[in-house]
Amino acid sequence: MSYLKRILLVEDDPKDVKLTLTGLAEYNLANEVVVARDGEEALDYLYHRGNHQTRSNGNPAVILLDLKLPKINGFEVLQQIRGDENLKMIPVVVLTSSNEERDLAQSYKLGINAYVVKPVDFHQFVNAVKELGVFWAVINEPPPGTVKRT
Amino acid sequence: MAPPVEIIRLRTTLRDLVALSAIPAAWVGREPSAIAAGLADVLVGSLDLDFAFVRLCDPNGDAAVEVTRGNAWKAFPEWRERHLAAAGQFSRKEIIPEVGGGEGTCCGIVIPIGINAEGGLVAVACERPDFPTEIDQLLLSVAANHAATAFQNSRLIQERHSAAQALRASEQKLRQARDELELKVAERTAELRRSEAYLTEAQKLTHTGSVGWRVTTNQIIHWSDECFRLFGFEPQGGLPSWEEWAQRVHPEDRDKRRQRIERAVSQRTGYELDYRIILPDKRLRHIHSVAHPVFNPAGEVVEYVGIAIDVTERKRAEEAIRRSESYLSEAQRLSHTGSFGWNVATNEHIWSEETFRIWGYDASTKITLQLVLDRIHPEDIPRAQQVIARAAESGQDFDLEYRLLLPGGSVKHIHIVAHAVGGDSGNIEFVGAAMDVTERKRSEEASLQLAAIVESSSDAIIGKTLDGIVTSWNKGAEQIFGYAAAEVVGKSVAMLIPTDRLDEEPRIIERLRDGERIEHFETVRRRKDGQDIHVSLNISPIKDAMGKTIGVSKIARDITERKRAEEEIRKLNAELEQRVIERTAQLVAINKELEAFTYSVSHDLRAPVRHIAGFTVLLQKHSEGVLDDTSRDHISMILDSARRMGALVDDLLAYSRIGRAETRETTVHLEQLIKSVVGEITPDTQGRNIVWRIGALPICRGDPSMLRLVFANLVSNAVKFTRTRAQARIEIDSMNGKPDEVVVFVKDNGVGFNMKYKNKLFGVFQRLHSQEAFEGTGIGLATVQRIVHRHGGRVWAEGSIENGATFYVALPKPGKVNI
Repeated sequence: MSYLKRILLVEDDPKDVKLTLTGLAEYNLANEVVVARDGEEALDYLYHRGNHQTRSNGNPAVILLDLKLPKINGFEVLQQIRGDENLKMIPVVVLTSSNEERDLAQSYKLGINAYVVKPVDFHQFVNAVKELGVFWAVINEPPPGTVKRT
Repeated sequence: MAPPVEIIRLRTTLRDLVALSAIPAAWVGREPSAIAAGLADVLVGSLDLDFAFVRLCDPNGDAAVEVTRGNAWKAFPEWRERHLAAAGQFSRKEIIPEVGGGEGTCCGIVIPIGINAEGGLVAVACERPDFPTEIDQLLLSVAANHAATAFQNSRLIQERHSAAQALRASEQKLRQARDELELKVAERTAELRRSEAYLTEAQKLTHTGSVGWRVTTNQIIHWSDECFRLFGFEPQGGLPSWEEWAQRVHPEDRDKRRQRIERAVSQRTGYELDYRIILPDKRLRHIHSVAHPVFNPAGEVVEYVGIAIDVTERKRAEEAIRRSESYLSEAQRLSHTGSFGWNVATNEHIWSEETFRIWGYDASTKITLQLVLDRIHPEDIPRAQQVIARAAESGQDFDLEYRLLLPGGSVKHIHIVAHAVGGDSGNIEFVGAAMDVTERKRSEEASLQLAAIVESSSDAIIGKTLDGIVTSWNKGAEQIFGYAAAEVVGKSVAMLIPTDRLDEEPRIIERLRDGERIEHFETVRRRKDGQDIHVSLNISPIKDAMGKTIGVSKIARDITERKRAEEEIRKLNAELEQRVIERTAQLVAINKELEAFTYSVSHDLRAPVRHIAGFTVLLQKHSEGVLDDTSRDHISMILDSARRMGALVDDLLAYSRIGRAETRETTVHLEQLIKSVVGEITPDTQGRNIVWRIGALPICRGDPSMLRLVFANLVSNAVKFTRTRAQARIEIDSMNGKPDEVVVFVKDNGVGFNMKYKNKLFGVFQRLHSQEAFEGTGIGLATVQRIVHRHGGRVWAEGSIENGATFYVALPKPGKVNI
């Protein structure tokens, strides 16, 4: 495997971050996760700005994106990514509490790769996150420009 | 020596004889008189005689010819008288020595010609003394015989001549007769020609051709000029053949003609026949033909002679007369006008068909005055009788209207117009017409009624010309516009139109000219007092019998009051509209808030629940072995509540989504849909004993995914509430409902419910069982009801405790839409 299993988790709720990371940890994927607390930070990471100015090059293998975010919401982030020549190929999975139809529709319209509703049941939630991490960061062959293992 | 005297005499005699012998040649062809004269002259001259008498007799008994020369025998006539009496005995020559009568002695000799002097005689006298010598006698005999011969010749010639002459004469006569005959023939021929020409002309004028044909051979032997023309043959082509003739006959008439002729021939009779022919130029001609047989001495028919007459014109004329008669009859029928004649003295009535029809008598009835009166309405009889009696007496024209009362009880109005003809008293005759004017009477009455209706109408009913001149004005118009009829009629309708609306009128007229009606045209008109009123106009063209627009009828209704009411309604409506807009805006705002709320619930309410559940699980893991049983029990309580909370939130969101979701309406096969729902649920029923019975289910109209939710809820409820049964029975079937709906029910043998709470069943969060007995959020049936109501359907339930429940869903049939 020549790629880093880097996952960008965009999630404002620390509890959710914690639960998500708990899920990913079971497959030893937690260390590869970069967490952005809002949309702005997510974009900073992707564009090497602010706190992420000095990060290593390359795109994440997948972005797990919440929709309801402070400052810049998930849709805006998504729009930005899909409009950028360098970023638009990054797989994006929406991971959200809502199964509102209009969210679903808009997400798919903006070109997401998957839409996952966070289950209330913890076990189900952990399973879901685990499977997501494994699929996108391990099984899936990421597009060119993804961060490579050094 | 001188010859002896005898010789000299002989010589002389011979000479004389020769001379005499030559005479007959000279006499040939002479007249008997000339012969006689010649003989006498020769005798006197040659024989030196002093007297000669020659008588030549015609052996045929014709008159004798007598010639006398010299007068020496003066007594000769007496002598002759004497001797001739005995002519029959005078058979030889006689010498008479003394003839007497002369100067000296004179001897005479008479020589008969022929036996008994039948040929006549020659008598001569001479004073010579030696007279008559033998020579003289010889010469005289010869001369006399010659003369007789000559005379005979002459007679023969004469006869021949006469015969020739007679022949010539008769020839002449014959020629003349022939000439006369020829003339007559010529005249006769001319006459014949003339008569033939007349005949031809007559045939031409009468369009009659004559024809003759031989029966045995069917050969035409006579074919007049007119026949050529009639049957359309060219005379140059010669007589047509029998077949050519037959070919001209109209195909439909050929058999009839052939049979008729054959019958006549076989019965040896003449015949008469009508048939049609078609000319080469396709013209049709009607022919009337008459033919008579011609018999031979043996009594057999050998020929027919006949004529063919062109009766086309006559046929046409007959047809025209027939048509014109039928037109007249038809005209009478259509105009309900019968004609009649009435002779007063003889009481003779002549009626036309229509008159019979009007009176309701059979056309064969013999009409009398009494029969006429019988039909007259009893009330009108005295008047009618009076008029008729006066007319009959005075012989004056009359004009009368009365009613007929027919046997069926129907009444007819009759108008009689009668004109007297003849006039000398006692022989008065009327001819006239009887018109059935019932219709007119009725329409007059109807007109009067209509006029009364118009007059009593409270609407203004106005008649005007296309130029806008008012022609009629009813009471309603007077009331609405304030003008009396006299003030308006004859004036322009423009006086009613406010000046700013004057252009309306020409536009209206233009539309009317096109035959259009104008209905409920609302406008403003001005009353006499200057007040403007709202009117609704109905304007129609008035057409004459030919359909030409000749005027305009206008009905105006005062709608001022209505306009005011309308205005009020409009204002109220506007206010209402405004209120609706405001309310809608409020509702929209509320809806938006609600939506935001739902959205927020969807995102934010679920997160804490999830966190509670998540961290409680983590806590459970970490505190294993640390906490006591009570605490662990509490932790599992927390987890259970969190899960329930999550389920509640999800169901609630789903429920609220139903109200907002877009629907896709189509034909739904409920049987398919429900079987699929049952199929999905079956895996969750492992270990259960469920008997499913699914009947034939109808199709309905609706949103398939929503209806799926309905039946998923009902079926899972049935499964859930039969959990306590050893054998669960779930029946899904359809039943009859209202005409435009289909009804499906889901019946189970589960725990049932108390009908007391049937109205609570479909309320949100309404539950009839404890969470422990039957888990649930209390939103399922509310969702069912919400979906069914959105489809315009109905849902209801029946059941009793421990005896199962039945849920009914009524949905619209395909074709009836409204979600």
